Amino acid sequence: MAVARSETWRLIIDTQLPGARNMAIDHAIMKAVADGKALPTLRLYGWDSPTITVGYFQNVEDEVYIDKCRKDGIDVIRRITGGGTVYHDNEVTYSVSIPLASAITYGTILESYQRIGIPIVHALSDFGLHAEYQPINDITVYGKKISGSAQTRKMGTLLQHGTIMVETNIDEMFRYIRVADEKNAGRELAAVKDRVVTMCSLMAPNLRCDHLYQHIAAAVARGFTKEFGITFREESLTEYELELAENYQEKMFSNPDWNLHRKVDAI
Amino acid sequence: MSERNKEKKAILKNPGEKLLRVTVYPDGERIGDIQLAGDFFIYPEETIFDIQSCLVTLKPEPRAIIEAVEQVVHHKNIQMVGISPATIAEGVCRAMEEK
Repeated sequence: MAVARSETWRLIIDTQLPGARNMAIDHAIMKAVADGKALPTLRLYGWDSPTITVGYFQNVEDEVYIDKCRKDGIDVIRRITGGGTVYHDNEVTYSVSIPLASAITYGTILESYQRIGIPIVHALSDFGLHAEYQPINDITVYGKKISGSAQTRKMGTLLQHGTIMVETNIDEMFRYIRVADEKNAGRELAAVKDRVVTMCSLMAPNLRCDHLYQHIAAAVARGFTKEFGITFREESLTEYELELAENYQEKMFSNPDWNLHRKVDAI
Repeated sequence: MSERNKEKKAILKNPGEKLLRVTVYPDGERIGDIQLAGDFFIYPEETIFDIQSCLVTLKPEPRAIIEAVEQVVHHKNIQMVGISPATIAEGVCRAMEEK
């Protein structure tokens, strides 16, 4: 089943922003799409400093060295999506907010992860990287994870956000993230580190990665066009979304009650 | 510390699934309270509280736990990805067995 070739989405190419702001904007876009006040949206963004996000179902204390994060000024933010702990640093992040009525979402949840992952595979191939989707929510190159994603479905709308590791400092990542033995079958930390990979480590050694952000963002959009025939209209957030984002940022993603304890007052 | 407050934990990752961390607060031989955490996906997310609630007062018997979870899954139209009723049952029983 293909998506109608005439489908038009909004494209937002954001700058590097604080983590709480990024999560608030994704949430606001999802709400605006649900309310019929925004087109289906692909957003590309970065992070203005290393930030950790944890999944909706995770306990922060189990997943990160919280004292070390506090000491080093690493924000730890809870997502509204499930999934695992992510260290965001020198990466391109994408988010897709689309109505559940969209053809992309048909079938099982697992199938929709794969379907949304394929444009990311296309984007990586634009840089000469042979990537593959790996269930449930990973994309790998040479068997190593380069991208992960997480999806939620609320208000008749799907939000999936995911990372593409560009020049992420893997050693720094594991200074802050705890590794559960059960997840890694008793492997040593070095072996666990060896299971993730960045774009820059795979590409030409002399390549300047600091200029890649815009190119990767454009490649992701092209991937969606190639796979689904989507036409993009590049626009900014609406006033409605900015207001929502402000509210979500203040009441949820900057709030320790939410980030540490998954508690939130009515918004 | 009372018997009820003594938490018991289990961590498991079954093939093809995500990591599940179970924390049980036993009330004698039964589940007094429980928390399920991990990198799995449950849709809608908020129904994790319904799943946890349905386990309270149960004994650590796999069949009873699986049936209770499946009933909530059916009733609330829940979809699970990377976690299953059988894995929850296994995690709960392992946690309760912890010395």
